[in-house]
Amino acid sequence: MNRKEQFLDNHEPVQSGSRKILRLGIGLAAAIGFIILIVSWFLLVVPWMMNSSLAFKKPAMNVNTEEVVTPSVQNIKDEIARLNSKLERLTPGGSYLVINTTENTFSLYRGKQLIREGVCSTGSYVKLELDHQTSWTFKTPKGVFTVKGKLTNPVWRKPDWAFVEEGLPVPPADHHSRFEYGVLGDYALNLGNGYLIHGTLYKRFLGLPVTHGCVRMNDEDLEMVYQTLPQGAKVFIY
Amino acid sequence: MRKWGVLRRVALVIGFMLLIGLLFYAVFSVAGVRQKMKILNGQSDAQLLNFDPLSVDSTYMELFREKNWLETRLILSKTDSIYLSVDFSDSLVQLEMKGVVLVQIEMLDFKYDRFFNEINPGVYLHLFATQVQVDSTFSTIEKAPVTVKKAAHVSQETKSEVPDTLKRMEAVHWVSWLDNGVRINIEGVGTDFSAGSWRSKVFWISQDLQKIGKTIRQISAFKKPDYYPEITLVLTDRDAKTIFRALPEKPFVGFRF
Repeated sequence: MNRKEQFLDNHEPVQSGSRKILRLGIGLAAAIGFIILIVSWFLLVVPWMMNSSLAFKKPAMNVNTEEVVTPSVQNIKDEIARLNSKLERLTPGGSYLVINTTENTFSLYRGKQLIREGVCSTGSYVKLELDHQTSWTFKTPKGVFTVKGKLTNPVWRKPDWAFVEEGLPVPPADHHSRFEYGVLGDYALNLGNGYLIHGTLYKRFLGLPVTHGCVRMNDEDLEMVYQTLPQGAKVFIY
Repeated sequence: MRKWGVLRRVALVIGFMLLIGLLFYAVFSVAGVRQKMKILNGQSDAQLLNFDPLSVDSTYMELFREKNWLETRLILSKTDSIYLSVDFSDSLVQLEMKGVVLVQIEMLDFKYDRFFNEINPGVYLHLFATQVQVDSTFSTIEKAPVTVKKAAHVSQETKSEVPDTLKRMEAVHWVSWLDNGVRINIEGVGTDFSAGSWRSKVFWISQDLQKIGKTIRQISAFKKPDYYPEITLVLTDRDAKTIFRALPEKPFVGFRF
């Protein structure tokens, strides 16, 4: 064995190990680089290309400019003014109420003018289950309603769920235990289908979704709303 | 040594094939955009007003779009549900019903594909002059946050703690596909942004992956992929939640670019 062979024989295992590590390192770096390339290709490069002039080479349009009659600027301006006034007329001229059931807030308007805003409480989205067949979901309906009636010193006629919720037996329809006095505040506005805007004893919950579907307000707001909204006024709930 | 050599060759071949695949993906994706534009340009109603927007001044186009927006809102005011109107020129999003603006929200940011700047007035009318309705929606929050309770002995008011689903920190994002082939992304940005940031990332990455997966499937079948022009609106998470919960399952939407 000459000196060179002897040297290789002595050093090859060490060199082979470090080469392996080097190769692994290069391979790993290449793989990571490739993954970065792929991710940026899909998330950055291609979306950029789809928004670049590459994607918007003007197609050959069959435009016959002589046949295309475009309205004049004045015509369009007149039309815009007409449409704007038509849209304006859709907003009630009198008072109306807008209720936000997500934020539990209300805004009272007269025409386009905001005259009062504040917190209220709306449906809790609790689904009360008595058994597999009977359940109630306490949500405030969304849409446009009209004030069907106005009441002072309203009396709450407790529906079945009020008894079920408290674990009490449901009494007959006109049983005296169904009527509770003073819990709805001084005023109530009837929106139909059993939904009311009324006051509450639980003022600490105003601003939270806790009701059984009615809209609750504090005494001052309720009085203002009661006095401002006539019968037939619109109530928008969203 | 031989093993390494084979592995290296295999890696090179796979890498090369992936590069070819990436190139195909890019070419087909761009072709998808062009195809969409071509199809829309060929629509009969789009041909009626097929003039080049560059041939008229920008004021004319602004007026044209405003008129279209007002017309759309008047059409939508005849519907019975709450609808959304998006005004990019004033950065406003409005919830409306029967023509009454229920709430007006300023967008924090918005962006839309270049596609919308490139379409001619005929295509613009084709896409946005009629009632545009949401076909399907995918979101991070529920439409109605219903909690089920069994009949209890204590009514909710007398409990010391009331569940408040509104103050909970949650990422509010949703994606809606419109019936005119446009996709809207709504991104809710929280005041405490870190609270929902990982959920936000997961949501948007999953959306991207779905889109990429669909495109790859179509390209594998040598089809030009469907292109859905995108609009992204950035709102505060409170506003995003208010809008999402107020709108019905398939609301109408009006736009002004």
